[in-house]
Amino acid sequence: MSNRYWQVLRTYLERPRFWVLSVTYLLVTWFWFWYYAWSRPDERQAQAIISAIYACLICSFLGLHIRRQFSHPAAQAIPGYAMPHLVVAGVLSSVLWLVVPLLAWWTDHWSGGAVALHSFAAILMGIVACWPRGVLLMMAIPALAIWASRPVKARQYPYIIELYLGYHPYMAAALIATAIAAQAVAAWFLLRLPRKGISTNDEFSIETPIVPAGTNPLTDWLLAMRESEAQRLTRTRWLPLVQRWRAPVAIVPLLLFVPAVFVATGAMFGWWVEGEGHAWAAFALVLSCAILLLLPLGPWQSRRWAMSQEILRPVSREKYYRQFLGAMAMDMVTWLGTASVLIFVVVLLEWYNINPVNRLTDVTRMFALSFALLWSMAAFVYGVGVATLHRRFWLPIIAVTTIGWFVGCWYSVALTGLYLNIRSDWYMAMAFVAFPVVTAAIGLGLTLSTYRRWVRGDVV
Amino acid sequence: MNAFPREYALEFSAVSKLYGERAVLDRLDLAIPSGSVVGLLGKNGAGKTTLLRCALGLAKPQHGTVTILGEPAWTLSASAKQYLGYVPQTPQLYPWMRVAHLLDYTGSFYRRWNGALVRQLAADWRLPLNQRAGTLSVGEAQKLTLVMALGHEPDLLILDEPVASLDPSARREFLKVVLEIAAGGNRTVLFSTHITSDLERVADRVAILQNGRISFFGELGELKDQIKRLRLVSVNTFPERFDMPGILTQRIQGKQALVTTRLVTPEMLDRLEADWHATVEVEDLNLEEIFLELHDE
Amino acid sequence: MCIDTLTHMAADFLFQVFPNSGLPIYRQLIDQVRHHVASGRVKPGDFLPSVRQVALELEVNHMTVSKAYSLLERDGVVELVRGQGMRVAPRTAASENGSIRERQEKLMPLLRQVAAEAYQLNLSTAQVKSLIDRVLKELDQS
Repeated sequence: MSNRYWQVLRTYLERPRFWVLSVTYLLVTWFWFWYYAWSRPDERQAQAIISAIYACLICSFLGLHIRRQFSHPAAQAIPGYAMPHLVVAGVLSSVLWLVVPLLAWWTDHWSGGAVALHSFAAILMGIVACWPRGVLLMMAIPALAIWASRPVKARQYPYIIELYLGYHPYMAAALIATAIAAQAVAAWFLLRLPRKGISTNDEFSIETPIVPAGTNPLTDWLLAMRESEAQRLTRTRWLPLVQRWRAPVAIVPLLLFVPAVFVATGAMFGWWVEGEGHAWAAFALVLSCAILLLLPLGPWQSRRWAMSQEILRPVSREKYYRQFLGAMAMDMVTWLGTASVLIFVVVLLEWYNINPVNRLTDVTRMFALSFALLWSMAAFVYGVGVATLHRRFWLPIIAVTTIGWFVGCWYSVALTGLYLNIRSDWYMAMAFVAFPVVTAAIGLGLTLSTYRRWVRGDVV
Repeated sequence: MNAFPREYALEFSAVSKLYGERAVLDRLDLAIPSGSVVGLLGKNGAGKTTLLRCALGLAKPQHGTVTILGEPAWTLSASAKQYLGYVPQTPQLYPWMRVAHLLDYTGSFYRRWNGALVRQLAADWRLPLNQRAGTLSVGEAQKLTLVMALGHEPDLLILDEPVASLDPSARREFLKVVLEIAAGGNRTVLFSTHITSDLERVADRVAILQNGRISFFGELGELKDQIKRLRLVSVNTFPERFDMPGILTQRIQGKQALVTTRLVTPEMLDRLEADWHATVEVEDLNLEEIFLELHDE
Repeated sequence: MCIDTLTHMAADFLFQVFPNSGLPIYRQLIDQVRHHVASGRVKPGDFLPSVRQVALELEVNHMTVSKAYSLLERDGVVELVRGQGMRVAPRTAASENGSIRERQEKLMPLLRQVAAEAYQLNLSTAQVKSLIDRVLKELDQS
């Protein structure tokens, strides 16, 4: 009996993603924050929020994992399959979203509202188990967290902190109840699943699912759009030799829908924060677009196996690699260009909230700083992405690089203070410029060395 | 058709390719005449794919030179690639593209794309033009990859285990197309396989890759003529071993012996009969049996 | 010779090849052509199907077929008629390859096999000879 549970547990232990996430969770939430969080209540609430965000991440992957297990034909064929799988998944997720915050509350380390914060993880897990594509909601978590950190005017605390501190007991109870319900519904859904005969691929990719034409009109429409974009790229007159390599990906127009959500988010909570709305709005946009950079880059990585075929088309070795890199950069630039325009628009919308004395210079500096941050980060991530294109854990590498860049930016240039108090000293401004410039240069250097490595070495 | 027909479509000259310490190709020589259909035979892991990758300029040998369509393989020019077609072992298709779109997209790269031929082949092979490439069956995907490689009517067509995952009828159709391509005599085909029966039908020459080298390259008929199994029955007991040039394998049991040799001549048969007072029966070996005998350690 | 009197035979009615046998395909084709000529199924003056036709219908490599045809031509069994194909040559003693002695040498290996088999079956020399007479008589009659 116990052997079965152990076998199910092993399926989780054998996946690198769970190890990586667990280890980083422990390091970030408990070891690093512990140093700060032990004595200062403010840091403790930040720790609780970080823990909740990690719980959301890990539980989403747990949801995908169990979804895949129940999509397997063995789920229907093997007797006694369901129970051990559901129990193990339930226990693992409970550790994250119930046990940890309850223990922390019991030891007076965290306030009771932490359980409510963590219940989002269970809700997300339930959603993902029923609807695997929902794992993309994970991407919304950072933006949501920032949104929920906005101060509520009455008591000058962000809503999320109030929830943590227990000022909204009914909301907290509702969240916890929803979490438990979500898990129960998901379990019921999974038990029903095998009879439908669906299969799930949990190497989650940003691409549109490939199903036979005619089964899903939405997919058909999206793919038709993609196809017409590919055809346009093949026939374009401007830089045709580079653009034709974009055709197999042809994903940029599709992706431009997604940041609409984040524009709304960023613009919205800019209006909630008094006085500093424009800065926060622009920053939120930069953050969202930075995280979403994964979207135009991702499909390029999944197309890497085609490189050994594409290089045999009538194009010389060096030209192929140059054109490939150029095409990938073009996709990114289109994405960033759109993001920059959006940032510009949002900043302009805040025109009247800015002190009229220095309005023009403020707006210019605001836009310039956002632009510089976004593009230097993109250059850095592009360089890393290209250098690691053929590595196995590309997606996590890029995610970590992006987040790492922001953390580095924050701590090396005291981002918040400088960003918001843009009328600062010149030498601080120089320090602010140095970090993006250096990282962008590193990115470009990596690109160049990758190009040379590709040209000299065997085609992977 | 290339303006300057050359004698050899592909040449390997003392090529060595090492992965770490292991020499997958070891001072390999091979010269494939234009217009021939060559089957590259070898055990799994013998290095067939490595050989083809070096031929196409996908991998760089540590020693030796590879010349393909008259140019060095590593720095193959764009214009030479107009005349080169390659069908890899696993079909590499963009899963979201419709088949028709994929064919058009591939065609946009080539100067001499024969759209009519492509449509003809797609119709003959019943390729679903409006299905997405990712939803095709393995056989359909393989056929599609072949059509994509044939559309620009290449002078040199290289296929890596092209029929390994096809059912028998799909295999026959595939081979028929290869035969038709080669029938004109101005196209060269090189395909690697470990299925000997396909090779016997389609190829006129065989190259056997063994221990990093080509242990035999020549006409298939010659190979079958040369390598025979001799069944000897004598009134006397045979010695432990026969010591004659060209023996590949031998099994001796008292007054009977089975010897596979690659140098069968009437004089040798006479000598055997005379020396050992034996009757000699000559057995023909098909390619599969020859392959096994050559690899018998 | 007028085109209408050409008789091109269907290749797969004429030949049956086994690509997977130990005997090379070109040899099988040569043997079968010789057999047809000997048995009278194909008469001097008949045209053999073209290389392309044979290769297509039997699904074998055309160079194999053309090798078979060129060897047959070298041996004088068929002759090439420009623009029309391979025609079966008239049968003369001179068109056979080599002297009587050489032709006898060619038959030796088969005869050795016959002798060995006869020994196994415990047949006497007279019995074997009467068998050979019978077979040759059958060949003459057809």
